[in-house]
Amino acid sequence: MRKNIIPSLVAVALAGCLGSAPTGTGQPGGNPGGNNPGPGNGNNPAPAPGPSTPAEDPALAARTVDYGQALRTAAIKLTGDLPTMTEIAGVTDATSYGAQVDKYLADPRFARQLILYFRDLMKLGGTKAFETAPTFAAELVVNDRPITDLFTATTNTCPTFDATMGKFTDASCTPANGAATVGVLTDPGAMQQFYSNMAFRRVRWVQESFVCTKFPAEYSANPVTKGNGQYVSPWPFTSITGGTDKTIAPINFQDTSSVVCANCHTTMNHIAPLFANFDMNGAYQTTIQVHTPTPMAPITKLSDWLPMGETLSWRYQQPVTDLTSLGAAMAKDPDVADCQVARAWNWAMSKTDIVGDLATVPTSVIQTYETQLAGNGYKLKPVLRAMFTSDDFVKF
Amino acid sequence: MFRKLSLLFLVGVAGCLGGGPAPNPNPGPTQQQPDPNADTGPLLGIAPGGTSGGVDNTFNHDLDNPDPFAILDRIQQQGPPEISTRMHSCQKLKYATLGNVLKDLGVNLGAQSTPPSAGQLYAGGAQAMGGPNYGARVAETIELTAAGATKLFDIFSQAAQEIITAMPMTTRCMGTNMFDASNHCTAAGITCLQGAPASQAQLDLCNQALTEGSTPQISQTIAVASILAAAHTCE
Repeated sequence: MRKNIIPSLVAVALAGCLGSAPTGTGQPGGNPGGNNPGPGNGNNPAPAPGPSTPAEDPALAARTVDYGQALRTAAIKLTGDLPTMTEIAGVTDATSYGAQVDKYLADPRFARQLILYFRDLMKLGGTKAFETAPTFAAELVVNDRPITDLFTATTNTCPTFDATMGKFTDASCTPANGAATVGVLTDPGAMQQFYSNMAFRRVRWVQESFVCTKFPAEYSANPVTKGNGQYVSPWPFTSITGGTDKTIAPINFQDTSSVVCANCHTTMNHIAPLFANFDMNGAYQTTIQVHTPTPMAPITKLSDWLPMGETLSWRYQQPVTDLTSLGAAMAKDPDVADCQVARAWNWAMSKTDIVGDLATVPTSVIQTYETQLAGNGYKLKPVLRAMFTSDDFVKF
Repeated sequence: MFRKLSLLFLVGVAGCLGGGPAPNPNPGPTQQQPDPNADTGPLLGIAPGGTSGGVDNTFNHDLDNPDPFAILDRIQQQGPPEISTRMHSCQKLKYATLGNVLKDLGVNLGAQSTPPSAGQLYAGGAQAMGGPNYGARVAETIELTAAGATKLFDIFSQAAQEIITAMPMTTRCMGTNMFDASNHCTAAGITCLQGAPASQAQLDLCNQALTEGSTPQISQTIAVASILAAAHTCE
């Protein structure tokens, strides 16, 4: 019951509240979202409030530029430390503030902070094996490589990081048995951490970490009623294994008696087989290593996910053949790039999790950065620089 | 009664993932005779949304969807996302960052004492302060909890005297003293504590705190711990 009402309530809430953007915040005189109880503007001779358009929301217009507070927040996030007295004294305006942010972005501690950031993003860390994927992601940012290399890199995807020296050391973790390296999609630590029945946990990890939404991931323009719910996926309903004959379908993914399983599984089942050959230790094997959750827990067969003739796909009508082509499809997917921007914005602005807490960011807020990322070869560091020096970031 | 509940559970679980009405071609020890009172309706005895695992399957769907009422409450308090996402929120200091901050302010994180030193409180406070648990696929929490705030303020209280003593010698504070010769708070000391320029109001509050303790040392502890707590509740 609770699950069924959630989308409705969220929809009602969003319809009721999101549409009111131009009219106010719902918190008269308050500071919506800006609940940072900062100690005031201090002695920093902050410039006059930034320009605000006549249409700007009163709460936004009420903010004032405070480079002292902005510096503190930037320093904590980008270096993990408070700014020094010299740095505090040296920041007096936009130019000196921007210059200090540049220094932080070039600071060895920035790499350490990025590793922490990507650990939380990927829910990986704490052991050497679980560090490689977050470390690789951090290395991409620090070295100004495309963040899409997360899904396309073919070598050196398991670097290590010396926190004392602030230095990355490249290392490869080529899968065994002739499989190709595909960014973090073949990372042994990630594959181990997210091992599960039918490889669904790995699929969920990919979706939530890099697309920033829970399943269902795809929506049809024309949902149809199925059983007790709505079938919203664009895939043909029978494109996944289903039916009541357990010899054909050990798991009935077409079941609609409680929820419409196919809403999520039409997407998931076309991806999951690609991750199925990694065993519970994250090592690639030549055969499927995951199990179907039925009595005796048999090794999953391809037909447990998909009927014969179905092709693997990243999304509907985006077929893939292996993890390399999956990674390429992800790298081309604008939702994946936009997800990195939204997560970075939430990090900068101290927001909660975009997936777990549904702390989504409207496109209107981050479109500039999305365009910047796509236009600069998917390098995230310049986008971070733009965020940390933005009008919104320096205003409190 | 127990048998009936078991059957209902079995049939219910099969509803989503197993295809309940179909005869099991591989009868196992879990197969039972149909209960004439069993719910054979379209929902097969389980509540809508039921996707938990059971005897016929072992996969529990993770239904950790956000609470819609919490989201609604957030929107009502903070305003629509078009506005609220453009304003800073209050994220707690990361556990590792707190360690860095304490260390930079001169706190010896390895010190052992009775009662426990600030370093000991910090070392033992990871869980209370929402540190990550990657083994359970849980990231570090972003928001401060009551338990986390309590632990944080405990650490600041315990660290205060250590910080006052060490401040002039730390690289970050560069010879700054927290109190001047007449035992008044210094603006530079507050600036160093919080990592942002001190305001006159903060200086006044700090000096007021110095008059409220039962001893000068306790007053200083209150002043420093209060500034640290106010400044570092949020990133």
